[in-house]
Amino acid sequence: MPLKRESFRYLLLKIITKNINAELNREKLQSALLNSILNLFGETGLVESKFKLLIFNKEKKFAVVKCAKNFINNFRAAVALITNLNNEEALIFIAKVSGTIKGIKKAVLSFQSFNKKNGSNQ
Amino acid sequence: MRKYCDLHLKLENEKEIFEAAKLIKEMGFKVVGLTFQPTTSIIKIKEFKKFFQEFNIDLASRVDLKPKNKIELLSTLKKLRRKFEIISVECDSNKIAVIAARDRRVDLISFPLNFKAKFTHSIAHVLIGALEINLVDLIMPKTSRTVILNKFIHEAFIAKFNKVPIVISSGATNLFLIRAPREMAAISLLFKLEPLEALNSVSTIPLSIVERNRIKLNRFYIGEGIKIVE
Repeated sequence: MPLKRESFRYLLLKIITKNINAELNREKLQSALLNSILNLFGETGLVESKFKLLIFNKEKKFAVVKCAKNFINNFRAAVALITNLNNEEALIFIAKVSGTIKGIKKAVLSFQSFNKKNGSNQ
Repeated sequence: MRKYCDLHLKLENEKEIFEAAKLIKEMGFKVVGLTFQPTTSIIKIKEFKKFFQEFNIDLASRVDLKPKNKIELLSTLKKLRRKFEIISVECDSNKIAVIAARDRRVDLISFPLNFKAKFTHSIAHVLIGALEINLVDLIMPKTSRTVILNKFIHEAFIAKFNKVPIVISSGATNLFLIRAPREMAAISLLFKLEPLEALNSVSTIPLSIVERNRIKLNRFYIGEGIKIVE
């Protein structure tokens, strides 16, 4: 019997902080996401999620993460329950979900051009 | 395409409301309910509606009632029903909950975290409107998150058992507590709702409440199935 390949989802996360000049870093975001999954779904949930932070842009305040397809709804719930990043009030929301890395890169490019057009960092 | 709706934004600061409009649009909402004070003038409400219209967002005016007794509830309902599109009652006691559930003028009932009142089968059985679950209680928990989650699971179970519609709203008191519609649906999956039920509770169910009330508030509306034809 052929082994079924694992499938993933790639998510574009947008980060909004209360203080526009707030210092954000990759490690803080990663630990916030990990802790949220861990609190809500436990260690087995964290393993099931196969979560990985792929891209993090400090200036534009967005990130691209990868998670297991079956875990997508749980991941959404975990992201929604994050209220703080680096002791700073923050909001993280999923702007785009894609099945391929190519698709999410396209979304990242359009997201960057949207930001340029609007002249905002949010 | 599904139209998403968040019926409960409790933003008080005017500047924050204006900032929220942009964010709400980006998150993909089409309809939002904004809580106003009972004394707010209709002109002010229209101003906000016009502003949200610029972002292609349909704003529904809403008032939250927190009556102490039956008389207060009935008198405020009489005063405010024609002014606001959505009326929600926060039930502080089971007596209030039963009266609010039976009243056709009440669209949504919710139960605060003080546990003075509980959503029971007897209330669900007589409920004409819908049960509202505010996610802000879970996002910014005042007590243990497990206690709150347990409360919501219990409420969702009773509502499902009695076929009561459930409305999931953010209940955001500031900009950072607003959540995207898909995220709200994902959180409600934690209350043991089916995926389709979860999506309906942030889209079709709240939208139908707003549409139904707009028809009722129309000046051509007389009664159920009766309207003035020009």
